[in-house]
Amino acid sequence: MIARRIREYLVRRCFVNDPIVIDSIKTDYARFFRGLTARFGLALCDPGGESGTPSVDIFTTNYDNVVEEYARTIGVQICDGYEEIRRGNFRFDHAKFERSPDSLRLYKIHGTVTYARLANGLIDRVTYVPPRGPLVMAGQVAFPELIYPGSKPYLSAEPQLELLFLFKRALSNADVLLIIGHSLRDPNINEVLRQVSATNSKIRLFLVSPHAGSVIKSQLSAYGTRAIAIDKTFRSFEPSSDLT
Amino acid sequence: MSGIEVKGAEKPAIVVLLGAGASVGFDLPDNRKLAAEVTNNLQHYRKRIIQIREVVKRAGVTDDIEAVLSILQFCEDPSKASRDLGPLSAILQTSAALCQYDLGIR
Repeated sequence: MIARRIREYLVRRCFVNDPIVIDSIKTDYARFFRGLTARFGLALCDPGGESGTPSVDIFTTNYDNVVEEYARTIGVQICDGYEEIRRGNFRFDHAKFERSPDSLRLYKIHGTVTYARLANGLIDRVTYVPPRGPLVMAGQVAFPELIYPGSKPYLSAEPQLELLFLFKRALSNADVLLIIGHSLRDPNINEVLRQVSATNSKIRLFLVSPHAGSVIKSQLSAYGTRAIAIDKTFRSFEPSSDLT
Repeated sequence: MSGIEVKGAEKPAIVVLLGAGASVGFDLPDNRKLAAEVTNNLQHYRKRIIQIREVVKRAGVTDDIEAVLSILQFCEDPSKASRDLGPLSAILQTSAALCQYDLGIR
């Protein structure tokens, strides 16, 4: 019961509804994505290219719906691995990422507030979270079960197993890993990073964080000079000038 | 900008990893603040959550929300945790007892 109450609190706290906050997300992420696209000449998600949003792999340990809200407000296609198999019934399919080469691909390794399991066992998308009381969707009580703690082994859990594998596979071919605001305390992620440091000699890491230096020293020493600290916040970070 | 560019016309493969720090500017708490908020806002469970956080801290682990949820997940289904951990689960028997009786979770 405690875990359920905590998860309900997390959904309520991490599900962004506030229009002012959403406007801020739209502004900051648009600047970030435009800078990233310009810096690396990335292919765009939207054919018109007005938003400057690149087709890129974004892994996150955040539960929140920040990136989803950016995509929704800007009108960009996002792939989170879930597909609607019939109305109000979603399922995770890792192959969907491969079928979405022109999308913003979002991999939520520790789960998400944007899906919940209904009383009948089906998974549905969360579109609104009431300010108080139980989460009710399609006339049923919904359980925000899709939030997974990151500090315990999740090696056999779906979709975490698949997402962690996709993370490793993406890094094995990557030229650049851009880490933003991450403390790297998840042992599973750290193990993947450690393995990749030995198998992908071309990859360079950039860590954007006010504590970037200390995190690199404690968690990314295997990368040596290939790991670069950018002592900035997400908001003050400018991809086009800071990634050198 | 040397060092990132790849040879030829091929675009570099970029992967982004976002952590809580990427969202704090949008009035979203990081995992440590979430643990504090949950402790303060779920008054009915406050004592138990504090107990869990203290146990975690004594073990030298950061008492953030993921640590709290990990403990609760273990306490709610110790048999699954035992299966996941295999032989290591033997040393966790005392922890299971702690969850069941000291914290009154189950």
